Amino acid sequence: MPPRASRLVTTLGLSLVGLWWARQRAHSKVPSPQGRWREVTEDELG
Amino acid sequence: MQALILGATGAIGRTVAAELARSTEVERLWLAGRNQARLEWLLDVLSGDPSRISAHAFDLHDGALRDRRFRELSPDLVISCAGPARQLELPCARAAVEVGASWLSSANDHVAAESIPALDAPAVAAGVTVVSGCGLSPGLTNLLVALAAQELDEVEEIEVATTRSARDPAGQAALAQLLIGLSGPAPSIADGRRISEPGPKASHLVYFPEPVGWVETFAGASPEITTLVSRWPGLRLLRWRVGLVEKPAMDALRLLAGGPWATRFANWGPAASRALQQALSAWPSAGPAWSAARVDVRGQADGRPRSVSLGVVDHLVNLTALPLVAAASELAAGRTEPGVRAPERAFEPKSLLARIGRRGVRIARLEPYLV
Ligand SMILES: NC(=O)c1ccc[n+]([C@@H]2O[C@H](COP(=O)([O-])OP(=O)(O)OC[C@H]3O[C@@H](n4cnc5c(N)ncnc54)[C@H](OP(=O)(O)O)[C@@H]3O)[C@@H](O)[C@H]2O)c1
Repeated sequence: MPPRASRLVTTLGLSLVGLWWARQRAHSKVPSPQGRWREVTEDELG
Repeated sequence: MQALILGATGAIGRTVAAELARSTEVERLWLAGRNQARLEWLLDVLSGDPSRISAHAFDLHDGALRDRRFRELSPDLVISCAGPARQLELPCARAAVEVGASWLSSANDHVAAESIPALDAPAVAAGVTVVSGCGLSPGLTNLLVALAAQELDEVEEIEVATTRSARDPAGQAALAQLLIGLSGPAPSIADGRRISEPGPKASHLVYFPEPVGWVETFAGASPEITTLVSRWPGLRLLRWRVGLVEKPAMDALRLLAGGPWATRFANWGPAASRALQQALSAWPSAGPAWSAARVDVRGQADGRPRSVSLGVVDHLVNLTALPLVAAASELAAGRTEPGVRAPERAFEPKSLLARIGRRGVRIARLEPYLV
């Protein structure tokens, strides 16, 4: 592959990985719990 | 009950077979799949009385052979765990009705679900019940929606979300179906009109029962869009979403689902499915290897707006197989009306959910923090 093309492919590849990694970081912070998941008891279903 | 299990060698089928082999309600159990060696292995593991449990290898795509086998065995219930279900569901369910057997399946293909109501008249005439899609989603999700709806005078909006971990073991058909559900437009209802969302693009965080917690989900296609609308026709909003617990694995799946090859994935063969499954489950993850579903039902109660959120959590094979087993027992007891029925219409939601809960599946209600 000519050096310019190979540089372009490398830059593109690295930017894609960078973008993906940034997305993972940004989305890895989740909000605090929305509430309490309380067991539905057998009586409630009875 | 004399039951025939299709796809008995699959992940869901094996669990259903093991449960029914132990059940005293089952007088005769036939296990069907394509692979004779795997069927023999299964028979060996179940180690049941050979006059009660036996195995039959045949391809369900071979219509003549399938119909002959159905006639010879003459079951009163056919439980299908064979998949992907798009090409199999309607012809196999019709063949079951023709031999006077009720039909119960784990099918979760939205295209197949739209074709099933055509069997209503033949099923009523034969005095049998057809319940297509009685696993997790559709299945448990329908029952949870019906349970939540009992607290409302009027149902206006329903949101259904499911999630699974890429490391929660399931079969290749389940993975292929997930890919099929994500490829192409996602049917939904917004502002009271049926629309098509453009596939898995915009993400939405959903808080599932612990230990799963928050998961990024995306719009997809699932049979609930058909079944829930026929039960609550005036809905203002109806949406189905799905996500993998592992974000990078979900990104990879969405990338695959976007390609023109995705709908043909079912025909790639087992080697490709296995490779994809291994690749997805190889992502390092700190998250729990569980699956879950959540339904949010909003409407009016006593003239005021009210919202009910219910969920379930367990491993995917349990969440799919246990509703089928509980439903089989209800069908055997003759407590269902003939015809094509969605799970929440065929069965009393509370009693079926209670049975499933007794088998260890966690059914929970969200009590939101007041912030
Ligand atoms: N409702 C839900 O929430 C839910 C959840 C999970 C799965 N599912 C559905 O349940 C089904 C089974 O999933 P799984 O995870 O158990 O998949 P799996 O392990 O790949 O099992 C598929 C089964 O179907 C059989 N099969 C496929 N094509 C067949 C044919 N032409 N003739 C005869 N048998 C055939 C396979 O037999 P061989 O072994 O011979 O190939 C195998 O026993 C799928 O349709 C999946 O989408 C639904």
